[in-house]
Amino acid sequence: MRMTMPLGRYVDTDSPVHRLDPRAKLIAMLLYAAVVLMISSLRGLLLTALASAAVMALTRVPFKVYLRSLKPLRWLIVFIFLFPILFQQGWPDGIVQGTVTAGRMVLFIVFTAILTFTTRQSQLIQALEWLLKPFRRFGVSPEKWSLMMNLALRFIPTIVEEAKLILKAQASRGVDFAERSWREKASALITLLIPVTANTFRRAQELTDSMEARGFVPGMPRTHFHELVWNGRDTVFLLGCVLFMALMFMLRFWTGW
Amino acid sequence: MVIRLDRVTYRYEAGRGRSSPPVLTDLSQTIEGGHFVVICGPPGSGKSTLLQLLNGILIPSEGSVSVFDYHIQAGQKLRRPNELRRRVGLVFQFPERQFFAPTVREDMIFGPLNFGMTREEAERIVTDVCRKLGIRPSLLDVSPHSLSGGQLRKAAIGAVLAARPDILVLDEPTCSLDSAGRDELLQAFRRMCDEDGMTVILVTHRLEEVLPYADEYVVLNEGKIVFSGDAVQLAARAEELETLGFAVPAVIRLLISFSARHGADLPIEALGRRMFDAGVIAQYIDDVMRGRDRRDEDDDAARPLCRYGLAGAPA
Repeated sequence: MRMTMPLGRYVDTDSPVHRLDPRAKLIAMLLYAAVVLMISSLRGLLLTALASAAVMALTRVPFKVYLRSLKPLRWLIVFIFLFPILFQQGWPDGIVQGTVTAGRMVLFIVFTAILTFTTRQSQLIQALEWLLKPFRRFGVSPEKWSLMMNLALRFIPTIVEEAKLILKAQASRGVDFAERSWREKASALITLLIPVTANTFRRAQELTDSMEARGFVPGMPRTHFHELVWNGRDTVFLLGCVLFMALMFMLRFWTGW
Repeated sequence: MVIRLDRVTYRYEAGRGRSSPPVLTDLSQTIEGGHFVVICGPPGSGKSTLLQLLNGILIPSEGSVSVFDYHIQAGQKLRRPNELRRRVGLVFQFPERQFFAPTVREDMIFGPLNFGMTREEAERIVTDVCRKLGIRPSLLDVSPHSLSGGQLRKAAIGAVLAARPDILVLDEPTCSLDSAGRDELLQAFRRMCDEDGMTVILVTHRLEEVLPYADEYVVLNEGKIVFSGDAVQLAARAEELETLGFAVPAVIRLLISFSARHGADLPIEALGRRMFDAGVIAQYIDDVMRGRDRRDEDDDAARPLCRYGLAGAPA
C-alpha cells in the first residue's frame, strides 16, 4: 500500500553530503542547474557527469538507487534522445545533439535526486524558507510558503490512501473499470473525485481548526525546532561549486566547448 | 455454510515484487448462513483485511476463500467479480464519506444500477431498504451533505443493502454514532438475519454493544484467529483471552463473578445472546438475590433461572 516516490525520498547513509547545510545544497543545486543548461557539447557533458559522479560517490547512496530515480522519466529521456535524430539533423549528426540533450535531462534528475536523497524534507523546506526571505519586501511570506509546502507534502500519502479506499468501496458497489467503455470509465471517475475532494476539504478544515486551537497565527514570526547551522565545510563546498561553474563558463565561452 | 476460509494467508505488496510480513496468517474458518458474526481484535490485527477478502477486493496470498460457489484461490484473478460483489455487500469504515451523487436517492441506486437492475426495480428496493433501516423517505431527495451523521451512516449502509446482498459485511458500522443510533442499527441487522436469512458479518471494537445481537464471535490477534465460538464459549474462555490482551466485556465479567459469588448457575447456555439483554440481566440478578433469601423455605425458588419465561427457550 506504500506509495513509491523516487524523488523526494530520504536515504539515510550519514555521509559528508548529508551533513552539509541544506541551504548550501540548495544553492549548489541552482548553480548546477545553470551549468547543466549551458552544456552544449559531449566534452562539457562528460566533465559535468564526472563532477556529479564524484558528489554521488560522496553521498554513499548506492548507484542503482540513482538509476531508479530515472525510471519514471525513462520514456521522456528516450524521446528527447531520438527527437533530433528523427526530426532535426537526422542520422548520424543528430546523435550528438540527442546525447547532449538527453544527458542534460539525466544529469538534472540525478542531481535533484542527490539533493532529496541526502536532505530531509523538513530541512529542505526550511532552506527554501530562508531562500525566500529576500522576497519578503515584495509581499511574499516565506513562513506561509514553507507551511504550505509542508502541509501539501504531508497530505499527499494520506489522500492517496483515501483515494485507494474509495476506489475499493466503489468497486464493492459494482464499479468495474475493466469491463467498461472509456466513456463509462470517465463517469466512474467522478464517483472517485467527488468524495476525495470533499474529504480533502473536510480534512483541511479540521486541520486549520486544530492549529488555531493550539494558538497558531499565520505569518507570525516563529522559531525553529532545528536551527540551521552554517559551517566552514558548507562554505568550502559552495566555493567548490562556484569554481566549477566558473570553469564551465570559461570553457564554454573562451574555448567554445 | 456460506463462507469457508481455508488456510488463508495475506500479505500486502510492498512494491517491486517484495512482500511485507503477512497481515493474516493461516486462517481457517467457516461461517454459517443467516448468522450474525462479530469479528473483533486489537487495531492492526487484520480485521479490515479479512473483510476485503470476502468479496474479492483482495485475493489471498496463500490458501483459498470460498463464498457460495465462488472459489477464490491464491494467485488467480477473480473472474466476473461483480456477481460476487452483489451477493456480498461490503460496507467500509465511514461509508458516508463515499457519497458523490447530488441526492441520497441517486447514491443509493448507484450500486443496483451497476449490478444491472432497472431503475424502477432499484427505486423499489431503495424504498424497502429505507423502511428496514428507518430512513425517512423525505430524506431521499435532499443532498447527502444536509443529513445528520447518523442518518447519513444509515443511508450509506442502505446504499449497499440496495443491491440485495445475501451477505452483509461491515467495518465498524457503529463507530462515531451515539448509543441510540448504534442500538437501532444493530437491531436492524439482527432483524435482517432473522427475517431475511441474511448473513451479517461485522467488525467492532465495542464487543459489549453487540452481545445482545450476535450469534458468533471471531477474535483476531496479530493476524491469527485466537478465538471462534458463541457467547457461552467466550465466557468460558474469558480469562484466557484476557491474558492475550483482549478485553472481555464488563458485562460478561460481571455475570461470571456474580454467579460465582452467589453459587448460582449462569443460564447463558439456555438463553444465548438474550442473556445480555439489560432487562434479562436485571431479572436474573433479582431472582438470584431473592432465591438466596428464600432458600430455606422454598426449594424451587432456589433455582431462579427457569422462572422468567425465557429460560429454557432456544437461543
